[in-house]
Amino acid sequence: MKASQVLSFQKTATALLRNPWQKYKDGTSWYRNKHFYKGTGSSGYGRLNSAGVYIIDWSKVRTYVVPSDLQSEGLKALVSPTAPQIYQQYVGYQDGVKSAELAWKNVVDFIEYGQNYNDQDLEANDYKEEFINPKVIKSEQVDLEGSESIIKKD
Amino acid sequence: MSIRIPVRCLRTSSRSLARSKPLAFTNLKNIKLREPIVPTHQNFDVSPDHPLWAFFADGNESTAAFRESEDLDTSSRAWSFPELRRKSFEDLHKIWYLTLKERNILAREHKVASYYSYPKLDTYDDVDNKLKLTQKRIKQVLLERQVANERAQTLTEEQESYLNEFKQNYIEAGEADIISWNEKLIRLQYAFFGIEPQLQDYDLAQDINLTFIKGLDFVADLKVSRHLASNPDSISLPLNGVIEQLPFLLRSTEDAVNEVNALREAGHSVKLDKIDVLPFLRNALEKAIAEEAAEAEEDA
Repeated sequence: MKASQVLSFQKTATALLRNPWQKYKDGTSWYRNKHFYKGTGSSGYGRLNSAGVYIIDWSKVRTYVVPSDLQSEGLKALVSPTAPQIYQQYVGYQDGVKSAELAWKNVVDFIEYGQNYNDQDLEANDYKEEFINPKVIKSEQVDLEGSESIIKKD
Repeated sequence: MSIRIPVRCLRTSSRSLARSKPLAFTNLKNIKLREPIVPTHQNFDVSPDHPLWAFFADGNESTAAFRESEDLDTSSRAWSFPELRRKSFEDLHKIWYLTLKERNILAREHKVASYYSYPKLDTYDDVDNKLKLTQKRIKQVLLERQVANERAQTLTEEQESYLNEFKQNYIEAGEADIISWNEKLIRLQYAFFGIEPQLQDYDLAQDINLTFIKGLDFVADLKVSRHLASNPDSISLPLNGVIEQLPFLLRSTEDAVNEVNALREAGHSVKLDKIDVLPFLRNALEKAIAEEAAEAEEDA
């Protein structure tokens, strides 16, 4: 079987039509003039002056900040295989960790209860950390109360 | 005019350099030879503090050029997302550099091992992949935080209503509760306006900005309102810009009120031009930090 037949199973019709053109992630074309130098958008920490001497702009030179007490900490590059796996669950928040609602709740909780506002006892909870939207808890309670009242009526 | 012509002076030099004595070797038996120096690394002294030791797994106690694949830590796993999400920025920074160091060591060992045609090079790659995964996850966790933070900035209504509610509660709080409310206020300043709890933590170039001015406005307003509720007529409102607001951030409310009144009597209370506000704040805070440091030194 020819490889070209595989190409028929493209994701979209436009992808098939565009074939074999590919583009860079930023949308610019793969094929350019022979003198074109794309580069990586990096570098350039100074400029040439009229005498051809490179003048370094020290504010553009990269600096790497290494933590001062790197070795003293108990942290390591890899995690021991015996360390328990932690699971996180986000209930009632749109887009999980990235939810605006959760971030806002964290800010308010930090102000109200201080730095350790979110301390959960992992061992007691089987290494599962839960982030449940208070609205969900409320609606559950309302549901429960509602069902109870229905039972009482019966 | 003389023209200097280079001439080979063999005629004179050959005469002066000619051997006067017959050629003879000294007695070779009298020459003492030292032991030959075997070219191994053990015969070279390298300073134990040499920075390149950081590229060796056991530092300056390393005995081999590279670890064999059996000595590598293959059972450990990469940091997982939930674990990294629970860490502070400082911890993530440390983990990043620990993985980077480890990756540098592995890359060096991989290179050296390949020179010796060491057969199990894949093991180095396996460990390196775990480290790479950790680094990618650290980046992802930071991205998640940034996204969540930027999204939370859009909740302006909630923020305003929370600040108003806080102000109301702070003003109405009794004497018994005010300590806890002050602690909450310090956290609120930090969370909303980036006002550091400790003076020495300020980065004056970065932290003194428009958000700081907003925060200063909020805090001064809050404290003055509470003070006026219990001591009416002690100070006349409104406060005249940052010159009068800053004492409320640095000192206790009563001291600040007295200071502002003194400023007004002396005629030093001026409404600053917009362009002078940030430089004034930086100067004033720099002075306050220096004063605090001097006091700490005196105590010590």
